[in-house]
Amino acid sequence: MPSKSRPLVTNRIRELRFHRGEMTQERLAVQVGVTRQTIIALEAGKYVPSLLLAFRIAAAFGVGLDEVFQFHDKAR
Amino acid sequence: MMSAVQKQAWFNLIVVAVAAVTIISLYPWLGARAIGGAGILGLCGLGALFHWRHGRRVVIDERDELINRRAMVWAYGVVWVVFIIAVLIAPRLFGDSVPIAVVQNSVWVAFMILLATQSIVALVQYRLGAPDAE
Repeated sequence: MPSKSRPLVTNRIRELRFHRGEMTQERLAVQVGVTRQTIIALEAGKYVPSLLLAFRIAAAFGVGLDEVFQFHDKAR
Repeated sequence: MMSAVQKQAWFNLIVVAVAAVTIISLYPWLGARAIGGAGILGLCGLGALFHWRHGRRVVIDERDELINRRAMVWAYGVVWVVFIIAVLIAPRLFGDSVPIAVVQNSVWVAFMILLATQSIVALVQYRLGAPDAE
């Protein structure tokens, strides 16, 4: 579970879905091999995915990893 | 919309509750034999049906596996703590000889605690947010 002291990872999945002709959460979920609930959790910032899933999501949108996920290190 | 793990957790929780109520309600009439009501726990095996795959849709993914794993760790932890407490309390309750029925029934009680804790922890994680996949 995310804690305040840990680095924060945000994402632009919702925005990128919108720019891909309103791609549905279900379609993205099938494409990257997860459940729709996980896409919902990702968009809500309730879950940080594994590196493999992050790459799959970036590939599904045809963009680089850093265009989907942003790392915010609070310690810096 | 619930995931397969969430559905199974709710199902297990209901089965454990029904088994517990059955045992408690039969106890005045059957005594120690009321533990036969624990046979209802066998219904938990039907939980596997929630993992039935429909077409290309994924039923369980990495997040579900993480939630399940953490729930199991919690469940085994709780069962272990309860076991230690029971071992410490038993001599005070029964003296030098613990009835064999208590020992036998404790297996069923431990199983019920395991299932209930696992289900509750899984459901709480779905509600609050899963552990990150690090």
